[in-house]
Amino acid sequence: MASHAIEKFEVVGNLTAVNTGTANIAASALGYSGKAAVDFDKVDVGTNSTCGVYATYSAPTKPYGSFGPSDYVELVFDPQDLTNIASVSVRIGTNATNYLTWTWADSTLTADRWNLCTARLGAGTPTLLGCDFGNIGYLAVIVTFDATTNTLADMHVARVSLLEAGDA
Amino acid sequence: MGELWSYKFHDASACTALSVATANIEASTYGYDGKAAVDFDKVGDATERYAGAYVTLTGSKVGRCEKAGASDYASLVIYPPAGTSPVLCLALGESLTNFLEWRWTFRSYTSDQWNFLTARLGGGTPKSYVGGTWGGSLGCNPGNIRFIAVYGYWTSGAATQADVKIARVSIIRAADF
Repeated sequence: MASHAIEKFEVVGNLTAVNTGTANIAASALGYSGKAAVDFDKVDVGTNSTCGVYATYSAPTKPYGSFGPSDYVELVFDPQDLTNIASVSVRIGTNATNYLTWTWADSTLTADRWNLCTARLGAGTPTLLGCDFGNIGYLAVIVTFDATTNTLADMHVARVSLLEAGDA
Repeated sequence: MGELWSYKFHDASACTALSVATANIEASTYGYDGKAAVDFDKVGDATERYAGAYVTLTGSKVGRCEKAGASDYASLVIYPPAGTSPVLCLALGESLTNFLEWRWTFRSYTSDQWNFLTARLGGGTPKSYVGGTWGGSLGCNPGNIRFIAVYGYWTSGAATQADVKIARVSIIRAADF
């Protein structure tokens, strides 16, 4: 349909940990679309209450300039356990210093299953200049925990997509 | 996608202050689509509660949405900083003499982020704003949009607010909403 995957999380080597609170980025035993998703762990290093993965792209491999503020960002995410999770966020940007962030609180998620999280593109929070969707160079999925000491194994992420509003 | 027309607020020099309570229309540090948005300040005034910016469109920038109907949407991408929670307003029309206005109260938006605010074209209020006086008007012909204004309405003239950011105004087909 009119859902355009920016990242399918099928190649572990394309992903990098966002910080030292992230460990064990690996191909998961579980998948969403017939292929292994990616999973990662939150570990306690005493300083990070977040963990996650990011990918970078060489322009213009992700040209979605026709997408407007009424269209949607989608995240397919399995948090495994929500006890200590506060929220999950997606960042999409022109690069790692100019991006938009969308966040979903734990109250909107269900543990131990795939969650489809959606938000209007026009409702993101900017870091500097936001995102030129015709020139996407950066994408990240970040999980925020209640405390730096929290740990959790095997959060799964399967897809970040853009969805045309008329198909939502 | 689904935008019949849009105007991107990338050029602060194209914007004019709506009122005497508007100051510092400039390129923002922040943007939505990879380029700097436009921001403005509400400054204190004895009576003026409105502050914002407007642009006059000519040539290829004129909005030509002849097929836009009352069920289609006007939309605004705006970043209201936390603070004074104004009513946010969008005006589309031919000039300060003839436009439609749509409003969103603070319950409709979230501070300190971009907000995608929408309203049916058919729910606009016909207004004019000439010489600092508000009045009625003939509304907006979506096939000839030559005037865009984005502004806030504060609870008092004395209210101040820095850096209200504007990124984009669009008309979106209802079927693509």
